[in-house]
Amino acid sequence: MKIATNSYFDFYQDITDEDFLDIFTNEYFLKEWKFQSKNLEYLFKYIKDLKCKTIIVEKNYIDRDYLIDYSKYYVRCLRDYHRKCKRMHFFNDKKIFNPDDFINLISNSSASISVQQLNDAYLGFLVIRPLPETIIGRTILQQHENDVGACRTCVKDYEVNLYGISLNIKNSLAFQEQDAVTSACATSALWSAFHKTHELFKLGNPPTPSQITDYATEVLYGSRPITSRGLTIDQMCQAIHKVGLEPHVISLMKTTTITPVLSFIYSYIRGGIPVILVFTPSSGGKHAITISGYKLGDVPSVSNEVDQQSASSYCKLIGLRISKFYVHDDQFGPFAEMDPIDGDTSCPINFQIPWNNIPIWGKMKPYALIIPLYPKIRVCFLSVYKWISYLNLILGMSSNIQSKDIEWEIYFSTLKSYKEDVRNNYAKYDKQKLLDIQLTEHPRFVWRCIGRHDKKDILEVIADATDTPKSLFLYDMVFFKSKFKNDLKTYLDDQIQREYTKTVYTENFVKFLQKSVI
Amino acid sequence: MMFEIIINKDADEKTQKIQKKFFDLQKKSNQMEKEIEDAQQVEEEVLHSAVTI
Repeated sequence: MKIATNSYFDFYQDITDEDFLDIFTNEYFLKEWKFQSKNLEYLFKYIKDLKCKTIIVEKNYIDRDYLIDYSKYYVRCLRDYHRKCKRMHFFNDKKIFNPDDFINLISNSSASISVQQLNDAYLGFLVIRPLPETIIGRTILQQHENDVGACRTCVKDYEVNLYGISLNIKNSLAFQEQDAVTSACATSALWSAFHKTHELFKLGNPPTPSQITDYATEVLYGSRPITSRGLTIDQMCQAIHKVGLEPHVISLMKTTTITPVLSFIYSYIRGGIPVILVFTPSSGGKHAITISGYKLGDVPSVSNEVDQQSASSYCKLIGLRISKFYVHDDQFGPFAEMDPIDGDTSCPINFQIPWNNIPIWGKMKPYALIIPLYPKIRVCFLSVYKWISYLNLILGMSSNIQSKDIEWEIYFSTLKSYKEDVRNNYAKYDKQKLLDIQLTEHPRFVWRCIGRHDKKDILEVIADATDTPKSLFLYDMVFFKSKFKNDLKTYLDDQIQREYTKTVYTENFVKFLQKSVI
Repeated sequence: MMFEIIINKDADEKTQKIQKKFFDLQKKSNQMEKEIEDAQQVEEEVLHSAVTI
C-alpha cells in the first residue's frame, strides 16, 4: 500500500497486485487492463520472489535511453508524450525503513538506516515509460539467490544514483521491452547483449535502442526503419558491426546440422559473451532473445545435441547436461528460464519457456544464433570442436577408455579469467606447469577445452582464439592424470602409428602432441 | 597436401589391420572437416529473414 507521497516520490510497502498496477498506470495505460501483458505479471512475480518489501517510485526520472528515443520520434508526435519517466526502486525485507528514515538519509540527518543498509536491501530498479502499452523501460534487477546452481555469466555491476545516494546492483544485465516504434524484439535483444559486450571488450557506453535501429538500417532496409517492424538478421549483423564488434552467425536451418546447439551457446556465455537466439515459435514468425546464463545438471537433459548418425564421430560435450538457460526475452522478462527439450531429426534440440504450466512460445525451434564478437576473436567454437574431436579419437585409440566416455567442456575465456582461474585452482596443477602458465605470454583470448572421465578432469587443452582458423591454434596441453599422458606417449612412440596420425591430422598436430607428453 | 591412406592387400594381416584403422579414421576426419565447413556457411535466406515478433 502507498504509505507516503510527495511531489518527488511515492513510498509503498507490502505491495499488492493493485499497488503494482497502480504505479504503472498513466493516461494511456489503464489499470483495468490488469496483467494482460505477460511481462508485467512476470516482473511482479520476480520482485515478490526477491522478497520485495518496499518500493520507492521516483516521479520524474530522465532516462537516457528513453530520452534519445523520445528525441527521435515521440517529440514530433502531435500528442504530448511526456519526456520524463517514472522509476521504481525495490528493497527487500533485510532492513525495513519508513519514509522519514529515507528523507533523513537523503538529507544526511540522523537516520535510523545507513547507506550501507539501504544498499544491502536494494534489489534494483525499473523505468516506466510514459507510453501506451509498451511501458517497461530500462530494468536492472538483482538475481534470485535461491536458484541453486544457476550461473548467470553475462552480467555486470551497475551503479545507481537515488537522490544522491549511491546504490549498487551486482551481477545483473539490463532489460527492456520493445516500444514497437523505435525498436523491435531484435533491437531489445541486441541492446541487452551490448550492455555486456561493451563492458567485456571495453567499448564505452552501449547504444540506445533507437541508435541500434539507426545502425541496423543505415545500409539495408526493405521497409521503414521507424516505426520499426523488426530487423532482418543481416541488419542485426550491421548493427553489431557498427558498434565495433563482428557478428558470428550460425544457421540452424540446415537439413542436418552437426552444430551442438547447447554446447555452442555454453561455450560463449560461459566466458561472458551473450548469445542471441533467433527462433520460430509454434505460432510462426521469428523472435530474438538474449541468452545470459545456464544451469548444469548431473545427468543429460536431452538425448542428443547433434543428429545421431554424426554423434559417434564427434566428442561428447557438456551441453547435454545443461538443464536450463537464462534469457532476456523482451516480451516476457529478464533472466527467464528456458529449458532445452528433445526436438526432431532435422533439429535435435528445441526449447521452451514455461509459464503457469504453459510454454509461452510453445515449442521454440532454433533458427539462428548470433554472437557479437570482438574482432580479434577469429577462431570460433566449431573449429575448436573439430580439433578436440580429433584429439578425442586419438585418446580413444591410445588408452583403454572409449572416446565416447570422455566429456569435453569447451569455452571461451579472456586471458585474465584464465590466469585467475588457474591460480585459484592451483592444487590441480603441477607447480612448474602452473608457473609456466602464469609467467609465459598468452594471447588475449583463449579457448579452454577440459576433458573429463568419470567426472574427473583428465586434461586441458588451450587454443589461441586470436589465431587464424586454418592454422593449428591448439598451443598448450596439461594432463591432470599421468596415465593418459603416458598412454598417449606410448602411442606416439610407435613409429607406424605416429606416421599414420601425421598423414591423417598433419605433422604440426603430431608435433603438438609430442611436445605435450614430454 | 594430404596423402590418402591405401590398404595394401599384399601386406601382412597386422599391417592391413593398422592401415584399415587409419583409413577409416581418415575417412571419418575428412567427413568431419566438410561438415564443420558446411556448418559455418550461412544461407542468404537466413540472413534476409525478418525477426519481427
